[in-house]
Amino acid sequence: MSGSTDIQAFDTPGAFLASMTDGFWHNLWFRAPAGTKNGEATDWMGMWLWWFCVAWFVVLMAIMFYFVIRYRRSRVGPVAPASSAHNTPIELAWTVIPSLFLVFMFFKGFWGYIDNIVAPAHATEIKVEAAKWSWRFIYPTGAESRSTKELGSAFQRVFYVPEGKPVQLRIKSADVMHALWIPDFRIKADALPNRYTTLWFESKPLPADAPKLNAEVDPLIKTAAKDKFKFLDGVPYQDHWLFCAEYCGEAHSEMAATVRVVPADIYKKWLDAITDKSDLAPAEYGKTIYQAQCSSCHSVEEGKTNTGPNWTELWGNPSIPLAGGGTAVGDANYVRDSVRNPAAKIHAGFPNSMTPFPAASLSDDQLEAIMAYMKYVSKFTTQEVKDEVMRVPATDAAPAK
Amino acid sequence: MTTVDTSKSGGAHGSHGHHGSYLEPRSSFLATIWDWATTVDHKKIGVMYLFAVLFLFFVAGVLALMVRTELLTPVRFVDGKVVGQELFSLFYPGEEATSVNKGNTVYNRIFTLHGAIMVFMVIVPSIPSSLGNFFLPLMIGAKDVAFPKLNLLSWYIYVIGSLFGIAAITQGGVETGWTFYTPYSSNTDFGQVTLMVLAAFILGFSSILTGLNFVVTVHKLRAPGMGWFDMPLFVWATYATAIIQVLATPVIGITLLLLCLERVFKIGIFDPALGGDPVLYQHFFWFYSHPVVYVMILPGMGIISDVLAVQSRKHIFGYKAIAFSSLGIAAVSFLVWGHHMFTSMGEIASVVFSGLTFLVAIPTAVKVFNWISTLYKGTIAMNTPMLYTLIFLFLFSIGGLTGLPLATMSTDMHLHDTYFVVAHFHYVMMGGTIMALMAGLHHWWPKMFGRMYNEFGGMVGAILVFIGFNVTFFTQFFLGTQGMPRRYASYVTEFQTLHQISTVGSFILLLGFLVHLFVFIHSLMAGAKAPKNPWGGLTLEWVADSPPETHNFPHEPLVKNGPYDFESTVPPHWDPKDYPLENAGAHKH
Repeated sequence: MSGSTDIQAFDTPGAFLASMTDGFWHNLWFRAPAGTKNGEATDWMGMWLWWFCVAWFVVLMAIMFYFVIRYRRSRVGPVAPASSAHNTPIELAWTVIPSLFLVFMFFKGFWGYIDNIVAPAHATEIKVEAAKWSWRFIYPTGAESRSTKELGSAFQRVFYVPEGKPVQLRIKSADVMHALWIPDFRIKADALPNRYTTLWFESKPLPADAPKLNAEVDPLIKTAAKDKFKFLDGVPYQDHWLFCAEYCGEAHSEMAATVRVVPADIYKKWLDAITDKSDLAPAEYGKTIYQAQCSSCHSVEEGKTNTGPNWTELWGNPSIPLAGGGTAVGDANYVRDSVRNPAAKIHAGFPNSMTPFPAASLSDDQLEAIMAYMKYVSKFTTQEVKDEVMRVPATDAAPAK
Repeated sequence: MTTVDTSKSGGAHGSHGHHGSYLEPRSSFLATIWDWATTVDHKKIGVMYLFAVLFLFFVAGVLALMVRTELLTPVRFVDGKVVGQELFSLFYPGEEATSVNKGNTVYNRIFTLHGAIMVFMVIVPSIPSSLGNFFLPLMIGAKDVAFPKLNLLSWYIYVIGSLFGIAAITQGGVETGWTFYTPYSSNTDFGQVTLMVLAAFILGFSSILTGLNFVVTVHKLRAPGMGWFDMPLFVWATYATAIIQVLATPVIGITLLLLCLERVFKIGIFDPALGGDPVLYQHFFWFYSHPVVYVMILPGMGIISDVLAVQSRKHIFGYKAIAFSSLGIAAVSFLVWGHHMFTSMGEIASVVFSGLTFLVAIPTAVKVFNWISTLYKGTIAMNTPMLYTLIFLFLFSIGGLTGLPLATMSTDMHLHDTYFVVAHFHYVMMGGTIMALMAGLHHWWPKMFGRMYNEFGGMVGAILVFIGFNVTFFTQFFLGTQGMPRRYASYVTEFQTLHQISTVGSFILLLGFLVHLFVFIHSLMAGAKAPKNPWGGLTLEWVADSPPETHNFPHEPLVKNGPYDFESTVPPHWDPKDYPLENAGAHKH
């Protein structure tokens, strides 16, 4: 927040305080400058509170230590001289003066909060769906991101957002409570299963020295069919962490994502590119869904067990052992049941902890794509079937602009 | 000895009444055990609570060290193996951790158990049930609490509740977090949530009964001459605490029972899939658990008030302000539960609760100002109880001040559910309550067990604890503001350095507590015999023998002076020479 003029305007004590809200102290507190204007206001409040607390603390402790040294028993002797046991003016003063500061904090905090909740009317709305244990951003066209990035111990979704445009997030949960937190934007809201919560942000302009996208940062630039994401190459970007902040179970600490700010025109192109799925083989489309929503519990590597059953032993498996006895066949109905109502048939040896995905949250088309991907990874399917589900449809449709 | 007139037959300093000390063993070992197990003596019950609480503090502390050790490395799953496989085997004997999620479960159980044990079995009962039980009747000159048998019942309910908790731990554990937030807690398929929730439910009854007992005791059993404003401030604080316990605990009882009903019988109360509302649970839960934060801290504030006055031999500054701020805090504490839910409630409710939360800051700040002012023109002994009191003031001030960014809504939006919150409440709960417990324990140890402790050892322990505590938790403030969410088994590498510093601190903390353990054991086995009044206190417990006789006083004491009238009163049975360390250079007067 160095050199920001609106911050300076708040600084009644002058440049002295400005120097204290910058550089070392700011980085110790916030690691990096806020990514939004509202975030800068929050930082200002945070730094103000930090110095307020430091000032009170230092004064209190200085007085305390002075008294302890000045009135130590070895100096005073075993009996203290008589002194007053209370003093009304002092007591009134130390009740009223802090109260005035508290009133200031309350109003300043209240306005800052409202600024983060109420989005401008022209904000673009992205629906956010949290489920154990992944985040989905469902963009206005209904499309979802295909990009991933390693964060912590797993590959996580990357969500592209436009630079300098207001974006409203309408958040809900498909199961238990989660909380969406973008530390760099200083915003957080719980994801509830029975009510929407909203947040909004508008990123600051990308810094002049922002890194540039390449095939290492987003492999889609190289791997996507028909060079569909080639336009991302060399584009400036800035990444921000997105974390789940409300404890939600086993993979709570893996429930993360990256918010990637790119120039607004690039964002528009990117949105068109993900919306058009003509370049995706059925199994590839399924794989993008798998990565976003299924991979935190289901492994596609042979022999690996995670929270849920391994998908290499699913499609075409003639005998899946069920909890409570009996077996099931790994066919389309089994998969459909297990997605729409997972509690109905529990694979023996696994907990009943999967989130049900009704059609409203996972369409029949998406379900088809997942089945295609299951066919592709299953050890029970033949190579012909795998080739078939991995074939990019030879359409004449031009690649997205 | 003008404060009290204990007896006409009391005789000279040091003489004992016709009853023996409450610690005197019976004819045989078994008879002694039976005597303790069936005792209605508030002192014995207090001592049993004390040891149970200290033991569970140790257990939960070890769990905390496991958490800190796990967090030395950012990622818990490397090359197909969970980091800390040994720990994993402890919880899943014979099984191998083959995935991130499975490894995380171990971490999640450990932090849940740490939180649940610390809150429900250690901090809530710590001071009221141990030191409160022991000293409340002594300080008001009573023979016992109002309902001694009920007191014994509270103890057994506490034991049963703790056994349920331990059963839950050994039968698979719980991984919901100590707050048991719905719908995760009501629909997770994992572990012994029902058992653990029942444990907390049962422990609640112990809390209610103890609170009830104390309220009646304070109202009915004060010694003749002791008006409300002649009560020591520890009694005021325990009284305010008892009121909260009686009023708030039933709410958590009902809430936890509803949670069990939902889990077991699938009655939809909190889980939206069954037609419930998960935020309703949070309202219920914090309607209890916020007032309970003050159940945890108020008795500690009482201890600090008393220790500070006695060890600096000075009238407490603003007695009435401290007494009324205890009641004020107790009242306002029922109105601020919503500040735990700023990110999940509606906007208007959040604003209202933010305002109410700032209200609680004022009486708390007033107390701190009063304590520091008490030191002015006192004669301050530098010993372990005083050192812990100063440590309390230091740490609690940080804890209180860091509450401000959490009550301020814009900054809370960033800090909610992060390590900043973790650091804040450890500064309040551990830096406040546990440090106060340590101050009170050293202050009253000679009275409870009739033995002095090694002052040097106590001071060394206190300094180690102070250093360890700050290294552990001060770093966590910055972890939180920089972006580290709480309850994370693994984290991004940017946070590793701060986590490692924090972990080093936790082991210094362990070292400090081990020194204390050694000092206490040494005191019990070889400590010098304690005089009746080693610190020169004026409150009634210093009139009783060390350790007190079974019925506390040979005759009902008569109160003639206030508890802190050091200027005008010669302390009973006090001789500065009794206590060699503070004797150094103390004879200028």
